[in-house]
Amino acid sequence: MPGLFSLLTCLLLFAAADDPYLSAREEMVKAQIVGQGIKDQAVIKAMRTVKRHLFVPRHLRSRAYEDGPLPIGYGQTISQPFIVAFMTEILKIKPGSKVLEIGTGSGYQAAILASITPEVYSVEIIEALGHSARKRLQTLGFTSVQVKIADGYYGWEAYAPYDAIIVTAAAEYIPPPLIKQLKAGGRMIIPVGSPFMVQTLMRVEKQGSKVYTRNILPVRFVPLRRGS
Amino acid sequence: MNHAMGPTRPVRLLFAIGLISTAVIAYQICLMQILSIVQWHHFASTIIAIALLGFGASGTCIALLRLKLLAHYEPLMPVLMIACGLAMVLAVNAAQSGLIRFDSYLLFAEPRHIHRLAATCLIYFMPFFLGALAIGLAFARHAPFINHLYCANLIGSGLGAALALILMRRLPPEALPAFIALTPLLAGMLMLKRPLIRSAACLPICLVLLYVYHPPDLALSEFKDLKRAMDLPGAAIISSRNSPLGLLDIVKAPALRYAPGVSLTYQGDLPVCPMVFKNGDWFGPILPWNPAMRHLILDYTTGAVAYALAKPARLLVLDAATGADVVQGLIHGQTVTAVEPHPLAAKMLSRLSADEKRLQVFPDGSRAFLRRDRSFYDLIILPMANTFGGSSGIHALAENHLLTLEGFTQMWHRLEPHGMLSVSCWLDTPPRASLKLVATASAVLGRLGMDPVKHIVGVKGWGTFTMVVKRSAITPADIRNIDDFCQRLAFDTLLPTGHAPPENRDYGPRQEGWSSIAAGLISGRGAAVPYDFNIRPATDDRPYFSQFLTVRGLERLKAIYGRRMVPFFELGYLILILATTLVSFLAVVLILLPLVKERPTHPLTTLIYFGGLGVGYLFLEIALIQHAVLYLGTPMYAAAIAIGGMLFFSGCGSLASAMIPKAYRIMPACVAGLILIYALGFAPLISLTCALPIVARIGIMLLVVAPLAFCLGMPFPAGIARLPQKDVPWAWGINGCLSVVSAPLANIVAVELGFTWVMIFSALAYAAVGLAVWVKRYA
Repeated sequence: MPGLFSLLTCLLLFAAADDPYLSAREEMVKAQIVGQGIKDQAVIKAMRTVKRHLFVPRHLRSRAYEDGPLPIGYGQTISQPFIVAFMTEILKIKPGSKVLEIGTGSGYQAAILASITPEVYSVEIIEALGHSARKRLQTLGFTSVQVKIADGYYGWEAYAPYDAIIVTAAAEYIPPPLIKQLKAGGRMIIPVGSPFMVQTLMRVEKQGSKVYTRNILPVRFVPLRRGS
Repeated sequence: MNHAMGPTRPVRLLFAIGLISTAVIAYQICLMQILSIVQWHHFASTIIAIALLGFGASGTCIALLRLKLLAHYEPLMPVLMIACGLAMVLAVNAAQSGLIRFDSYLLFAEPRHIHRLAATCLIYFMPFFLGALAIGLAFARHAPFINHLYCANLIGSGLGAALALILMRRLPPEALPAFIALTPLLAGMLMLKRPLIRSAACLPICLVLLYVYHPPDLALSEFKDLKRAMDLPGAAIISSRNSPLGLLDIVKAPALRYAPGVSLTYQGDLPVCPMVFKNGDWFGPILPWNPAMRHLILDYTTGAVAYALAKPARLLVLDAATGADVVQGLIHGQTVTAVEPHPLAAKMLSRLSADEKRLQVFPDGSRAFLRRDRSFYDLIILPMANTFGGSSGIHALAENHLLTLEGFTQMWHRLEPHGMLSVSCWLDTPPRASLKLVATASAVLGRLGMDPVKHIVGVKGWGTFTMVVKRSAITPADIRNIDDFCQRLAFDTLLPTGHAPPENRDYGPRQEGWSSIAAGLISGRGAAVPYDFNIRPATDDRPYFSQFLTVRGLERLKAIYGRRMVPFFELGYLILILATTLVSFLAVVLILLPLVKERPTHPLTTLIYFGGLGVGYLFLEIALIQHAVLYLGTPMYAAAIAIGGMLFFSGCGSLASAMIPKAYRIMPACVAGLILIYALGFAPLISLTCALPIVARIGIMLLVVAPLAFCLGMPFPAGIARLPQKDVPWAWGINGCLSVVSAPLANIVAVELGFTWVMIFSALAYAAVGLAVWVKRYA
């Protein structure tokens, strides 16, 4: 037993040396993910596994696990960890679900999705962001994520229909092609708010030919009514 | 006093002071536009407020180094003026460099941007400091001619405002600083006495000219709408034209589409169209129109509900921007009247249709138009009340005179008996804009003795909310039409009308508590309901529709959203408060610093006298601009008339001050009384003369401003003339510092208490000045 304990300690030390942000990530999962009501074990595992600090600009790595969004250039942000986890959880994806992401950004959301299901398709309109995200995802081993540089308005028809669609940046309109590419019974999630402040998420559900929308308020964002 | 009229008057210096004052004000206005383009309007005010502390700092500097500076006065003056000109050009370039450039959005996300902001303020501080140092030194050296010098300073400043407006019509914003920088260089040349050195001074002029012809591009924040549009593949600016009301850029890109909150039932393609950006912010789409068109993408948005109720014969589109609502009106209505204050946008609108019977475009402010217009309309359409996705409170301090109680009342009176008023907004969470709209309409109807329940109806889509206020009571047939419309487009009917729709389908996003709060507002006729945001209707006195933050709600916001997120609710207002605090602190330091070296003869009286003049003048100027905006319509011209008029007539007053004995004692009290009379008299004057043509209104405005401004120009030179020469720089510094503090402070007073109080505080400041003099005399 003492031998096994030493071995485990050594392994942990090696892991920590390999990943200097391991404890920060653990703390993030504990406080921001589990601590704020995320229950889906697959999502929690993904948040624990994916090295978020490798998806943010180098000078912001030390802040990668803080409870907030961070800028990644081109007026885009990497969402705060809780929002990433919450959006993934409410998509209710299972291993084998086909997911389309509109707006690859840094690739972090795609990596979280790819940790749950191998069928992740991501479209990014900004060429520079798309290229760097594709390269990053490949380097970090998320080889199943397909990244296309194109106008997200058209979705990715070749792989449609999708069980879930996640639009990472809010738009003034919901593109009709995306609704067409959503399976009946499928879900689409769109964050609503300014770049640094996702205040609510909009869930679009397709039931037969009808489409419904719902505001999903994250647990912490309770309605602001006096006395409530 | 007789010196002022004596033969040794430094004429060359007066011209130089006039020129440098022209440059400083013109530079300030142009810098405001540049900073509005690269950042946002209210950050621009903040940065400039800090940079303007250069005026206060110059007084402190002269007070501390008076003897040394005055000993080298002759060579120093041209050097300062030329350095001021060079600093004007270099400051803009340095602040745009990769090392210094800051981003307002990143202030709370990346701490290094706070350092960059500080560096930016320091850089922009330099030209103001150098210019003010030259003016302050002239005041200190030639105190006996203070009335002439101050006159040159004020008239030069007034001309600076006019010069800025003229240049903005002719030059792109990036070329403006270099062009303006030529003025202090000329002033410096004027002060140089030796021809050889004067020739050498041509070198900086050549350098500046180089910048005029080859100005470096402006580097926009990566979060500005224009920058984000330009990041799209294939994006190109197809037209760019500057004007005092803002730089208009037209951008074309294959991925730019316009369909605000379009129904999820819409299955067609969303049209690609060019977009117009004003000072880098989204302004509107350019939608094509031809008489054969029968429908538009906007027909699938909540905004189309008014057309589902009735086919309007006469439409009025206020603040029409690029004319999306005008195009929809041309398709569904018979005649459209469009009002747009931006002259370039108005020109674009008038090109939509050559048929004057169908489309009439008025390049005017909407409120000024409503005051003047005597027509009645079947439908009045207002622009979107907020911005998509929320602006993080960046526009919290933007004045909006349409969405006020008085604005709604005016529109109501221009409606035909069955006419309607339609206004939309993006849904926000927690809900604010939509509730404030409901509160405003309910309060107006309540004041008019109507029952809001019978006149207001709302429709909510997945992203937008549209409120329709009908002049006659809403009928069951109206409800059926709305219901059909909503069913077809999967929208929800929202507001209680006494005719509940057959079923509440609830297609759109639920906003918990929304319905009960809206119902409370309607039944209470706009009376306040308990809520953590400010949803009280805006008024002309406090025209801040987008200001939602309340002090009592701040703690709850912090608890719910976390400390890091709270700034993004009301970024603009919080930055203003922070800036005011910072500027006040720096001002106190700058005022107290000279006391370490030498005690002024009458420190308290000097402080109250010159500080009070600074506060009173700026507070009054800001209140007058507000009145002028409502009266003249277009904000930039209103500001130019108010500021230019005030400075010019104050300059005349300064010149006359030497002729009025004891002006320092009499005038502050007179001014205080006059301000109070003006505070009471402006509203009736506006109502009586608002229907007159613009030229007449400008004339009246100038006539009204003239006597007050004339009196305002007297106390400063009269006070300076009474001071021992050693105290003049300190007094100049106090006046500069408190003028700078007053600008953001007046904004806070306007937000919290209203513009009437801004005027009252101005009167109180002058009263304090008068009191200080009397107390000193009888003590």
